[in-house]
Amino acid sequence: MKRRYFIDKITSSTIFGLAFPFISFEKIKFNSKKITILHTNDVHSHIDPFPSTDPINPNGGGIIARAKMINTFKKENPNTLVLDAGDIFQGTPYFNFFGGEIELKLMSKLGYNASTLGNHEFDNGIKKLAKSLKHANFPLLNSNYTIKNTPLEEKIKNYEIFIVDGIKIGVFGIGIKLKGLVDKNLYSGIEYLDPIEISQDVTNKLKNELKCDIIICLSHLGFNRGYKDGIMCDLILAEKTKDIDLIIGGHSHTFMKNPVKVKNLKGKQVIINQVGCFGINLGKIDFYLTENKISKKSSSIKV
Amino acid sequence: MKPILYFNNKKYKNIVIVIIILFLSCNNYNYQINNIKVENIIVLDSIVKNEELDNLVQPYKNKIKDLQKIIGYSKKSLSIRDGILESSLGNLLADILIEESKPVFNKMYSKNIDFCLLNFGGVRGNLNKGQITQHHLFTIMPFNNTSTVVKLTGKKVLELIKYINKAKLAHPTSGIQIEFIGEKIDKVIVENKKFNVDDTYYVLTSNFLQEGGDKMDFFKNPLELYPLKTNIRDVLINYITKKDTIIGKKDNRIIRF
Repeated sequence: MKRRYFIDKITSSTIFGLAFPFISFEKIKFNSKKITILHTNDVHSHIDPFPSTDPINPNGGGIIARAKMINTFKKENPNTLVLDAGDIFQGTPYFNFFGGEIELKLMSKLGYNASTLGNHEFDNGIKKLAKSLKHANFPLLNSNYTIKNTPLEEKIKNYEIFIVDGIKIGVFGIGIKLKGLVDKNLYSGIEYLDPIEISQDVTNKLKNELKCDIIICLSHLGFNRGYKDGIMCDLILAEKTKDIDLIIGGHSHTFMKNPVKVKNLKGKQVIINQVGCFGINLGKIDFYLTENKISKKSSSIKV
Repeated sequence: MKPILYFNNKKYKNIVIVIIILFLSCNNYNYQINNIKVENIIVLDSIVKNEELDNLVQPYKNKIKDLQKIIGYSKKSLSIRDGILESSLGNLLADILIEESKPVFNKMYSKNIDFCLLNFGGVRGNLNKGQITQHHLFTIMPFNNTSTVVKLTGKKVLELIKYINKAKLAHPTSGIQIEFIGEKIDKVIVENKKFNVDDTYYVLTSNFLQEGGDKMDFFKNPLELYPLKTNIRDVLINYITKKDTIIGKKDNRIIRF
């Protein structure tokens, strides 16, 4: 039935296009779609909410409140992805005693679709990180660490494609330079590659080969620290690449009130959003999409 | 169902197939983003229950419940972010570490620690007023860093001071007083004596920073290296357990005029 409906739709609309090739298509509302992205970053093993006596975030955060919020938004719009920008690990005794097992199990239960490698994911070394990944039913994505011949090989994906309500969403991950942040013995064998070059390669593939409608980068580079000195951060990544629509940031624990909008190399808008740390906030991004009428019209005219 | 007729009609059949092929080949991007709405929402709901998640967390929680035992009291809420180049919590942590490490180092090597430098990024949480548990110390210092003493030349200590000047963060220190006037280093006192670039100094820090963590490269390749190998968090826990009530405050030990 689905296939027949597809053919129905194409024939009727293209015939219509043939008959009236110069008609303004603006007036005809084709399918418009809404995709919701929910996201966290730098949760740092914060599973329990802050105590009611906390002077800054009384009762803030906590896995149960987050689960409820995610479920509510998913009910509002089932076409939702849940993403995280790394540093899942380290920050409470849950990590010191259980090595990340419980964090990944809970994120799986909450329906996370993907995360990336933050520097603290390496705090117990590559071997233990690789072992802990069996508790996650979602992929951890990274494109700019060389993981060949390390225990992470075949456990970390470059990118993942999600098809949500017919919309193709490409998600990839970019990590920070580990030197100076992580003991070198804990990440031996991994080299850091230039985020800009790698992002250009990955987005080129996602956009032009795999025809993604939305491209999202899960970045653990940090928002803007070092921007003035040309040290890699989300602001630079956004400006110096071409096809990223959204950067979900992390590492700098930046509590953004509003997202930051940056023009990329093509002059197109890139959105950077980050929600601080410890699961205190949840980011919610709604993408509204419409069928690309221009390409449809030109194909009709050609006939 | 009307359009199906076109498809069944031989006259249109070929043209429809051509159109479909053209459509599929030309239509590179089916959808384009028209509008994006962003909202960052506070996660807050203290009364909500979730049995499934509770059941998952509980066994882990039970295993670490001993950490909830009260080990002491804090007179005030202390934070690493309540100052510019120093902080109430940073001062307390560095003071405790140097106080506890001095006798140990002296006994082991008959030498005296001059001052202590830790890093801002290593302090991950606040210490709230009232009861202190081991759990709190884990959230304040989650890393399993150990204490280390290095013997540095005065030149390397000058690099350290320049690092603090440039970083503009409240890195925890103890035993050293620095006054900056604008960007200029005006006065440095170590152990109640004026800093001398020709002297050597014993500096207490963590193994992470000694190995070049947080780009503190002046700690790399010291004149002498003494890894004390005690977990810094354990030192803090033992001290608080012993003292019961602790007071931390800012005292302008690192200041810019």
